Amino acid sequence: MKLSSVYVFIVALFVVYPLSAQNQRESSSLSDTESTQSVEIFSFDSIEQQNRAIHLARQLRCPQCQNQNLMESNSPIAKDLRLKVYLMVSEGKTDPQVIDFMTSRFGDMVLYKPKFEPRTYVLWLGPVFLMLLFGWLGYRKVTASIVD
Amino acid sequence: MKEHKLMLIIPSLIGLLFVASMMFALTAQERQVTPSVLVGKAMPEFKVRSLESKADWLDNTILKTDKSFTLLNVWASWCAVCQSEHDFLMNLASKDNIRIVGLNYRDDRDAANHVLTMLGSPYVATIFDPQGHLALDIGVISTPETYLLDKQGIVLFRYSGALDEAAWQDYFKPLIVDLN
Repeated sequence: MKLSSVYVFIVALFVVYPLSAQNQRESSSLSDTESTQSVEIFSFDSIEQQNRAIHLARQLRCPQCQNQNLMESNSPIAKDLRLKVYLMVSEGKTDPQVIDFMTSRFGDMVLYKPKFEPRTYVLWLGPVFLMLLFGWLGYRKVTASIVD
Repeated sequence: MKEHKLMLIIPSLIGLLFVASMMFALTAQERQVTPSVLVGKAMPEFKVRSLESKADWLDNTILKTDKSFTLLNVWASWCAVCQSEHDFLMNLASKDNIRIVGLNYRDDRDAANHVLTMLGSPYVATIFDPQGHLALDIGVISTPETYLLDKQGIVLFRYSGALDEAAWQDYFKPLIVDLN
């Protein structure tokens, strides 16, 4: 008798919990579910367009959770931006246009590969310079010891 | 011998400097000061509905003021962190007489207005952005965010996270002193 009532309670929990969770989600934000749905079921005109859009979304960093790209992340902003990438691609925008749109709003941080410009010379050339420097020092050391 | 020592010290110093600058850049981000690309620029043009009254439109003129500056605070009723900064914003608005414009982000109009009637409103006006279109143009990353704008509505600074006394003293106060 006792056991069966526990059993009923557990079953009830499994039925009620997902229901209430769903209700909460529906009431919390209509606009959120709207755009989420439109990004999950987005349909492209061609397979090339789809591949290009997905490739682009993978190249862009999610500004909120910075160790994920726009495809991987499920944060609201990643969904927004993913939808924006899809929309821009289906409107026929080029890759640089989409990338410009993102960097003009969120900065160069969204690029996994920073641009090569005066501001990033140290970043790009620093390691090369260090390697050359140590290579040269090593060479000098070796030749000096041979002479000795 | 002496030359040899120097040849070791100089490259090590250069390497150390490189590592130090990278570490500085990393910790700067941890301190919630990811700079907005809008710094030094005006907010993008907009014309959207007001949260408080369905019939009213708001545009960029709401961001301009006779006072020395305006705060633009991005918030939502579903955002718990926003509610933790609400009291602080109320204090700024009532005690310090600071002009705060709200930007209600991806929200339900009734839910948002309910929060303002329950807790009071620190805002002179609230921009209603249920689809997040304007927030996307501004480059809002996550709620809450607070932008410091000068008289003409030019962005001076963006703070991400709940605003509190420490953040106000550290980041906003020095910039505001320059404005007065």
